[in-house]
Amino acid sequence: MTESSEIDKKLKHELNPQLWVKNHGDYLYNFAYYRVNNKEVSEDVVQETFIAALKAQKSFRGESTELTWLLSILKRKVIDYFRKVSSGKERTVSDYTLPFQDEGMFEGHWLVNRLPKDWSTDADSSLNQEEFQQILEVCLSLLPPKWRSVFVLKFMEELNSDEVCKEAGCTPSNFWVIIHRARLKLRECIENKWL
Amino acid sequence: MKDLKKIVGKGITLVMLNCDKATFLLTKKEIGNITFIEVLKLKIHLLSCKYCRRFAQQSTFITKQIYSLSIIDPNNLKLKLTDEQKICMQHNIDNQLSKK
Repeated sequence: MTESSEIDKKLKHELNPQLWVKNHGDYLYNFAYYRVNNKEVSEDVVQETFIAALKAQKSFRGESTELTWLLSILKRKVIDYFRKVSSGKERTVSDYTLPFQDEGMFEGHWLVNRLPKDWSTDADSSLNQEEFQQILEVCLSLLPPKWRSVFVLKFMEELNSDEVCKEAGCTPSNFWVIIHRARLKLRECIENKWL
Repeated sequence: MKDLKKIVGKGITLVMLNCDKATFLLTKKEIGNITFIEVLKLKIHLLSCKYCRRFAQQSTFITKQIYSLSIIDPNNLKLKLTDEQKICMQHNIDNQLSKK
């Protein structure tokens, strides 16, 4: 055996399905939860990931770690979930009204009772970081399913807009409208709960 | 007179953005591309609108926070599967393995 192939062998990762739950269960569960915002769904996604991984063991080449490989399968499962909740027309409807005046001389300007308030420097201090993230989590869960899907795929999975629309079922122009409204709603929700 | 008003109005909307459009462009600028003209319009609007400036700052901050929410620290997992859940998952894996 030559020296280089020996190194190759050393660097090759292996799968230990027996230990997946013990070694990676909690990590995968957290990873799923911060995307789908639902414990039951997260559990299902992790379970499905393990089963899919078992079936796909042969495709594992040992080039990445076991966890990285499992994560790539989990990510696909999460996207499948978003695809499922985003389909259906009624999901795009939201009772959210824009914080802008809809007529008159100041059409399109902020409504006086919904002007963005000053958050000052509170948001930056590490003391409040945890609290802020908890509120953010709640507010993300309050977005309509389709909006949240688009948001998570864009800002967490960092897909480009075409990919997001492919999975969440939006049109390119629709994509910008959803993101725009979701950002307005999210900001307002955080402000109302936080200040 | 009415026509003149219309023309002036049109001229103003050509140069000036309202807050709805400005916040829309801010989002577009952050995650996509906007044209040079749009950049200029946005700059002019932000100079005179402190609420949209606030929106810009807060939205960028929120985006960063969302991203950091997506990063899971293996040494600081906030949620844990219960023992029951783990036993159930292990059971399903064992089942699948024994099939082969």
